[in-house]
Amino acid sequence: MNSLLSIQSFGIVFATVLLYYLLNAKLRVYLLIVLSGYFYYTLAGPLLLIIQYAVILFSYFVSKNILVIDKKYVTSIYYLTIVVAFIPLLFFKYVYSYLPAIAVNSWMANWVFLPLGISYYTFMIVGFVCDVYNRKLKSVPGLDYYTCFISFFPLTLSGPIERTDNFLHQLLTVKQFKSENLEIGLKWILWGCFMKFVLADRIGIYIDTIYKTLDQHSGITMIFTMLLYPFQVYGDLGGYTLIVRGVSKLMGFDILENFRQPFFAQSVTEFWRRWHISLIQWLRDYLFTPVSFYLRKYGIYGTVTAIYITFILSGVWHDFQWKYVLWGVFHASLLTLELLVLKKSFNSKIAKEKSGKWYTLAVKFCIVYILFAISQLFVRVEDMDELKTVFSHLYRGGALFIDKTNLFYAFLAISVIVLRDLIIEFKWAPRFPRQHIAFKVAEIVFLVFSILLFGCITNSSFIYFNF
Amino acid sequence: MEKEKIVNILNEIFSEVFQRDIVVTDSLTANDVDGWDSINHMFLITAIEKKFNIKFSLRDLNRMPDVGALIELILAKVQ
Repeated sequence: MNSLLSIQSFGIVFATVLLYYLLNAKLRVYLLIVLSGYFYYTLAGPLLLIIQYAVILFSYFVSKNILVIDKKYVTSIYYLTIVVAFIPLLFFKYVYSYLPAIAVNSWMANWVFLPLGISYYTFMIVGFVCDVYNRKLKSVPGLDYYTCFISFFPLTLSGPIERTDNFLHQLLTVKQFKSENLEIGLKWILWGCFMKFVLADRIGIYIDTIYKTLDQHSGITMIFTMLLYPFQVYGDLGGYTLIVRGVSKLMGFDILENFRQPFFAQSVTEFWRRWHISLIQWLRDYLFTPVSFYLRKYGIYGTVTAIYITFILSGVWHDFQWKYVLWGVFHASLLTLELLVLKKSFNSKIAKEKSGKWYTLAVKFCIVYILFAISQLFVRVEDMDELKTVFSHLYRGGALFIDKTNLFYAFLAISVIVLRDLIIEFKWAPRFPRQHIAFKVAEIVFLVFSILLFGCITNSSFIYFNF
Repeated sequence: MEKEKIVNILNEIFSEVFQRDIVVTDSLTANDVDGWDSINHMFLITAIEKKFNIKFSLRDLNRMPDVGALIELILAKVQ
C-alpha cells in the first residue's frame, strides 16, 4: 500500500500523463486500461484482477444486450445482475477475512495480495447497470470505454465513486493539454499530500498511542481524542481524494468532489451533503430513493424506514460488526430528528443563515462537529468491548496526555485546513489574491516545505483502503 | 388536462411541501429550490400522485431532470 505514495508511483503517474498526451484518443483509452490493470494487479493480485474483468464483462454484456429491451422479464435480469455484481464484494468483505488462515495461506496468498478496491468498482458497475435500465444513459458506450471507466486507476482504491453522467462522457471526449490543468492538478496533489502526511498522519500517531494504551488514560484525554479523530479521517480520505482528483486533472478529467468544507455544516442533514459526497450520493440514488419510493404509501414512516435502512447498510458496508450498526442507527436517528423536529427551520434559506450572526453559525458548526465526532468513536474502536472501555474511562480523572511534537504539527495543519475551508466556504477569495503569481508560488512553496518538514512520510497507509 | 392547470396545481403542491410560495417553470430544477432534497422529492412525488390520481414508476423518477419533464410525464399519464 505504501507504494501508492512512493516516488516511483508518482514517477509512473507523470510518465503516464506525458504518454497520454502523445497518443491519439483511442490509444489513450487502451493506455489507461493497461495501466489500470497493471496497477490493480500489483496491489490486489491476479485473482482480483480476473474477477474485476469478469464482472465488467458480465455487466457490460447484460447492459448492452438485455437491459435496453422493453420487456417484462428484463426487470428480473436487472435485479439478478445487481446481485451477481455484489457477489465478489460480499465474499471478500464478509467471508474471505474469516476464512481459516491455513486456507488463505495455502494457495490464495499467491492469487490475492490484498482484497482492495472491490467496493468502489462494484458501486460504479451497479450505478452503470441501474442507469442503463432506468434509461438515464442514452446509449451504452463501447466495451473499451466502459472498462476504462470502471477500472480507471486513480479511482480504484478509495473512489470517489464516479458516475456515468459525470465521468463516462469525459472519457468519450478528446482532452487537449492545458497548462491550467497541470497547475490545478499539481496543486491538488500537494494539498492532498499535506492533508494526508501532515494532518492525518500526525493526528494518527497521537490517536494510535492513546488506543494502544487505553487503560492508562483519563476522561479528558478520551474526549480530546474523540474530538481530534474527525480531522484525521478528513485528512486521510479528503487528502486521498484530492490526490486522485489532482492526478486525474493532469489528464484533463474532472473527478467528483468528495468533500465540501464538511465542518461548516449547520445540520447533520447538511453535513451529509458535504462529507464523502460520492458515497452518499450513490446511496441516495441507488438505495434510499428506490426504498423510499416503494415505501411512499406509508408517508413519513416510509421515509424514516428508508433513512434507517440506508444508514445501517452504509454502516455494515464498513464491516459486519455491531459497532457499525450502532453508527448507522445513530446517524439515522439524528437525520430523523432533524426531519421531524427541525425541518421547518432547515428549510429556510441556507444562504440567508450564512450571513447571520457569526456566533450562531459557530455554535451550529460545533454541535454538528461534536455529534459527528461521537459517531466516529464507533468507527475508531476495534469492537464493542473497546467502546465500553472508552465510555467507562470518560469519567476518570487525570491530566490530558500531551505529545508535544505530533500535536504541534497536527494543530498547525488543522489551522491551515480550517483557514483554507473558511476562505472557500465564505468566498473570501477576493481578499486573498489567489490568482497572483506570488501567491501561487508562496502556496506551493509552503505546501512542499510543510510536507517535507512536518509530514510523516514513512509508513503511510489510508484508512479507507480497508473498506 | 391542460398544461396551465397542471402548472397551477404544481404551484400549490410545491408551496405546500416547501412551506413557502414557489412558482414553477419548465426549467426549474432541484438545484434552484432550497430544500429540494431526496426526502422532499419523495414527498413531492407522493403528493403529485395523489392529486392527479396517477402512479409513477421508479424509471419515471429518472426521467425528470426538470419540472418541464415532470409536466410532460403528468400530461402523458392523465390523458
